[in-house]
Amino acid sequence: MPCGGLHLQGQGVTPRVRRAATAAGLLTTLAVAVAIGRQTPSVASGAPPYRWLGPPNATVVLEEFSDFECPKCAQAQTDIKNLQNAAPDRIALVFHHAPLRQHAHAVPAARAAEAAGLQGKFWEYAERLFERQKEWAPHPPVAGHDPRPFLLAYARDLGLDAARFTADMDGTLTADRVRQDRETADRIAIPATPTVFVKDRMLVGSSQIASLGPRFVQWALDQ
Amino acid sequence: MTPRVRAGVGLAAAVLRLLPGAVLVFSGFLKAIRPAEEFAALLSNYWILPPALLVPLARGVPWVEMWVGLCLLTGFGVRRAATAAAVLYGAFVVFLAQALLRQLPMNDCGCFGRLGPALRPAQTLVMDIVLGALCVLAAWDREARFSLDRWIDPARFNKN
Repeated sequence: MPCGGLHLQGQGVTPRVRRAATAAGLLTTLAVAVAIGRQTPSVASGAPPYRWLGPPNATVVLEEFSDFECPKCAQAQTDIKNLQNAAPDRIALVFHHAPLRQHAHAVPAARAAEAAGLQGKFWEYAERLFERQKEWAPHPPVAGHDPRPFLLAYARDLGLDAARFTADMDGTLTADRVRQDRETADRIAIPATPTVFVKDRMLVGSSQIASLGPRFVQWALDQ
Repeated sequence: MTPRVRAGVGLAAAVLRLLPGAVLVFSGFLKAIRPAEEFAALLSNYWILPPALLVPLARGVPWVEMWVGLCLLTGFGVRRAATAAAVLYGAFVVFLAQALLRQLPMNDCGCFGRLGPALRPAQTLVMDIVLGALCVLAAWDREARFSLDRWIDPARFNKN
């Protein structure tokens, strides 16, 4: 039998007081543990300038993590752009690649978008990839499907220098940038695509972006 | 039941309540330290809760899990905590069972958030049934051995 209890009881500490003190102690323990362990994902945007849309001195930066082959990402594009359009002079949108491993064509598409970015057409190319997703990345996947002719055709449509585009798409710079983004996505444990950060708050999935996004953006603007 | 058997059951209940308690603390903690929206997105995969409830639930449930789990671990209000834990595990079982019956495409039950082990719904269903049964055993046990309850009010246990 624990003897400490009897000793304290002898000093007039009632069970009720002891229970309340214990509850307070346990709750404090939990609160402190969570406060110490709290993970607030911070992106610390290291994206190249061509992936930045909006004023350079924006007070609110929306950090988008998307995969060009992800249908939900394509679906969410209008809502994400609408978030930035809520106050285009104060909000910037930054794109980060989060190509999912189960999407075979996501990395080539991301590298193609990087190659377009090097010629100043990242956003136009990204829009094209999302719009024509079913064309270059059919769902369900088709065995032996090669997205490359489509990726080159989109570049030509946008008036990009095809030879430079191909060289960049196959070069180490675009590979490194996509890999770095993927590492960032892994480090901050992106739960799903698309994910958008509004300051240190997270919107996970297209439904949260549509439903909670405007409120989060307003909160960020009000700060 | 002979005193010896009762003592054995009491000891087993005291030791076995640690497991469901630890699982609850662990799973609640891993979710509580991450943004609530992350767990809300996992909850939305079950297609059972109204969207407006997802974030408030994602904020509250991890704390309830941690509190109930810690009470079980330390033996603070053991019988009430064990009953609450059994109800929690029961609710999880209902959630998972409906997902399995509807054949929802889920590779991760989301029980441990994004940081913990990614268990399939069927695996978690079995685990939750076992842990829920241990909680029922702890709720039934009046001895509450190795518990804070005994330290808080020893007189109550001396009467038995």
